[in-house]
Amino acid sequence: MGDDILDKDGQFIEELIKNYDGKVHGDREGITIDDDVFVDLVKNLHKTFIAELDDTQKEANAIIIKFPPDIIFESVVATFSDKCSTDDLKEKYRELTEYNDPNMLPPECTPNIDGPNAISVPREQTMHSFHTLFCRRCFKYDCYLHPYHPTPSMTLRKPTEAKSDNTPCGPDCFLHKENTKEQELLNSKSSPKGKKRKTSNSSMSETLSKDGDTMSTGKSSDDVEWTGAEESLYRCLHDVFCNNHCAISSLIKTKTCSQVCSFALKEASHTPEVGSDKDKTPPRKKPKKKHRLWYNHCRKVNLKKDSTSNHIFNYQPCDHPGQPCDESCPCIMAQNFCEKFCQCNTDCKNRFPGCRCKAQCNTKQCPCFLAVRECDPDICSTCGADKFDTKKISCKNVSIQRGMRKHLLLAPSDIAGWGIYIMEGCDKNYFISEYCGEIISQDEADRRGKVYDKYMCSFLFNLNNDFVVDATRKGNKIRFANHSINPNCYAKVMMVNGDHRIGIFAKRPILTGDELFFDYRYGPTEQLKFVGIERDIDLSAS
Amino acid sequence: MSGSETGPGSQNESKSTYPKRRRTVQQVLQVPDTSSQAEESGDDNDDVSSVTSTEDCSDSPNVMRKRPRGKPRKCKLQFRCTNFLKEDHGQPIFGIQFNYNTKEGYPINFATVGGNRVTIYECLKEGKLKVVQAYIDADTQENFYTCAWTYEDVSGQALLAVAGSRGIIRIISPTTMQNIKHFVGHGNSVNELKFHPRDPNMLLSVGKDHSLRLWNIKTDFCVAILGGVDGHRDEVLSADFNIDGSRVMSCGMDHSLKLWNMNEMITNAMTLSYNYDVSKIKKTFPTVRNHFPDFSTRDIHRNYVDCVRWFGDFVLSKSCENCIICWKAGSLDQDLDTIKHTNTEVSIIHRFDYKDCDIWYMRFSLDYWQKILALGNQVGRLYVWDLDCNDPTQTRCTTLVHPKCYSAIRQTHISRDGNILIAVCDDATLWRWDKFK
Repeated sequence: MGDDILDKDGQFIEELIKNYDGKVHGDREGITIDDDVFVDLVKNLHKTFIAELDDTQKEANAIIIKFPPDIIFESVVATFSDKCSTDDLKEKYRELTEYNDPNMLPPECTPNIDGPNAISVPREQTMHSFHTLFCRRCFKYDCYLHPYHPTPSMTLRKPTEAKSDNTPCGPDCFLHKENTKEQELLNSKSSPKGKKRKTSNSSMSETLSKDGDTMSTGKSSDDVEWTGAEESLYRCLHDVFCNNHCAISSLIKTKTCSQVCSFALKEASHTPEVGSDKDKTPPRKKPKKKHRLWYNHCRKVNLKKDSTSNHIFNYQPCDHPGQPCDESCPCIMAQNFCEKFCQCNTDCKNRFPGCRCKAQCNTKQCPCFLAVRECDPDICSTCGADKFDTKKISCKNVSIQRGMRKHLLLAPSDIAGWGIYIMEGCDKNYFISEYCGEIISQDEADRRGKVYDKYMCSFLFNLNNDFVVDATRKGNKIRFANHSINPNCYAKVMMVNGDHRIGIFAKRPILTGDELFFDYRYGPTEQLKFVGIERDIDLSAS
Repeated sequence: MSGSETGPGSQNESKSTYPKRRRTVQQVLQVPDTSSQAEESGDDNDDVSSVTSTEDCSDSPNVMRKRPRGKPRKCKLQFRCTNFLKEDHGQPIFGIQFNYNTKEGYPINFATVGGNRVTIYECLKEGKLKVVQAYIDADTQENFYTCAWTYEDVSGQALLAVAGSRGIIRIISPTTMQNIKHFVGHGNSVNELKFHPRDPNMLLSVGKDHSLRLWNIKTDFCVAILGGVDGHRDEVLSADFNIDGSRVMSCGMDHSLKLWNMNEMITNAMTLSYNYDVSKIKKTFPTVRNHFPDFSTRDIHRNYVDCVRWFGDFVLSKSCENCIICWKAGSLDQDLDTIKHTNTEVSIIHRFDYKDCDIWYMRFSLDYWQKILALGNQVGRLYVWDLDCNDPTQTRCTTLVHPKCYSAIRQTHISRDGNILIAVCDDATLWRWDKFK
């Protein structure tokens, strides 16, 4: 080892530090202090400051006794060069010292409606977390894959067709007491499909008419105290169930349907009628595309495949209320199909129509397969993509989303380091495994790639124009598959329900116990660096 | 990655790198011919005159400290070099451990590992050393890095665990002179082995594959794997159990030190590993995988951290920056049980400075009572600190020098009674220093 190696490494380290803005190892230059230390420091300075004041000054400046004077914050800024101003520090100190009650929520939070502090709030507030943090694509909260981007249609909910059940839920059901003015009032506000009212005996009708003041027991039970939680819950359910008080009461559980009914009346008089949004989106029914339109769409898919543009962009659901998907639509600009997560009309021309295959969707006859997409269980209904039982699925184009991978075994490789071997044989074009890893931006991949190149070992895999999959720190077993110029597998980036995912498929029939390789598609220079070992073996074997 | 370039390139090579081609055959340890067993120690005469220099602490290589007023206090520790020998394989000896499990009155044994060799010695009077047993791994590519003694919990017989570059942990029984078992699992070399202070069957191994593994060597299960998402991001170089075995502190090439509490999940798995019957349950043992340490810090050192030891609730750790740092997780008066993984605070208590130790994989050691701290540097100098005082700034340092000892001292260890200190070097030499009043 000579000095030249040292110099090269020295240069490498400098570049690395520059890449990370000098923050490879903590923040020694600008000493930032923790919040606890900061509060401690200011408190102690304050104490010494007060101790040095004499009595007259203390009386004059009562404020300074309560809150540290500016000079303390100025000196902190001067010493620690924290890149923030005196006022910022003052604010920070105030915030940190005022936070006393651990049970007190930050101001924007709505208390949990299942908790003891639940208050009665409008529907938007209760549903705020759900609307903003719930990821419809991953079906969970705060998913890592799809960071929250607020879009105009976020809080609107598409109303379902209110199917009101006419059968009474029990002996006390409110439906027994009817023919009231209030009922009519409610019914007129509900969906056009009005209920048929049962006519009852006149004896029963006595109990209703005015706000329930005839029957003593009925009245008292109908006008009970509603807790904040129940009220909030009612408002959320009301949007779904409209006037189906029986259903609402069975969900709230602590109130009978007649109580719900009376509360509904009170609510209805308070809240103004919300204009129905039904006009904006047509009712959901399967679009009956004519044969001609289908054919056109398939051709367009074909043309897209042949286009020379190699840039695939990440899919983001488009949201432009009031406008159809035209050149300004983000999906169109990224050359992606609109998916079911887009807020556009189901008739949108840019939506992928799905396939109508009856076979296995593994040939170019299937439009999904042709467009390098997996079948969508909500759209492709004929191929069996929507079946629950994975053993009975006839569609072969849902392997990634269902996780139907082959059994793989890890063992030292014949070529270099570790290798991955397949336990069961498989035929050509069969799905083997998904290449899983961390999804990072292209910039982060460049930074990491520099270090990985030094190690001569990299697990980076280009996903699309925006993201890269890195299996160095997190991944699955297929990351151990080595590179080969004559591989038995290939990789394909597929669009799976709105996400790009990498699938590894067999290139030719593979026998049990074979080691798996795929072509990493390095450029010519990398080929020489990494593949050297394999060539040596080939030479020695021959 | 950024740290590997601190020392001259050649010195980084002293620690073997992982060979590129894998070996195909599992090797079995063999016992060489017995003729060497009764021999006395190798090369030199026993009573080499000691060139002990006892220095006042103010002269020791700590530029920051002021000269203490009043008469300088002398370090009470005085050692004299009584023997040295050279192992014939000529490879660096990376590990040496005294057997602390022998009863009083029984001979004092220690083991050294270097190359593919494991040698067990006995300390005799007047500085003499006797080779009791030597083992050699049939794979010439194997390079042992570390060893640890334990005992069989029923018979009390000594057991020695060794491991190295191949990542296979071997258990040797000196009584039967056999390699009784081996453990495969680490994806790469094993850098350190430690036994649980309360349970002689629980073995902690840390490796180049960024993980720590806890094994039950009686029932052969891997009880727990510590590492992963928030685990070490590069080789783990060292780890230590605290005095009752409830916590593990590990350190590695990613500059970080991580605290792993032996929580309920792990202690339950430890108990389960004794009773688990694979033939009845028909499933593999449910190894605990803990991805999240209870505390982590990169603020102590700025380079590879290659040695860590618990010191009560404090931690002693060193990097290749010529300094052993005594520190505590959290603030000074904070109980370790209240430390959360989000805590970032550390309190530095003291720094022990020395010179000429810029290469990595140089270990310090504490004696049985944690009163003596010993470290060798890369030019053959031994630093010994007397920790037996209340104030950390009052610790005194001795340096032990021998003109023929100029090679890097990889590890030191002190016998249980505190009277014998052994240092092992990169040129396969072994040095015995005896304490005298």
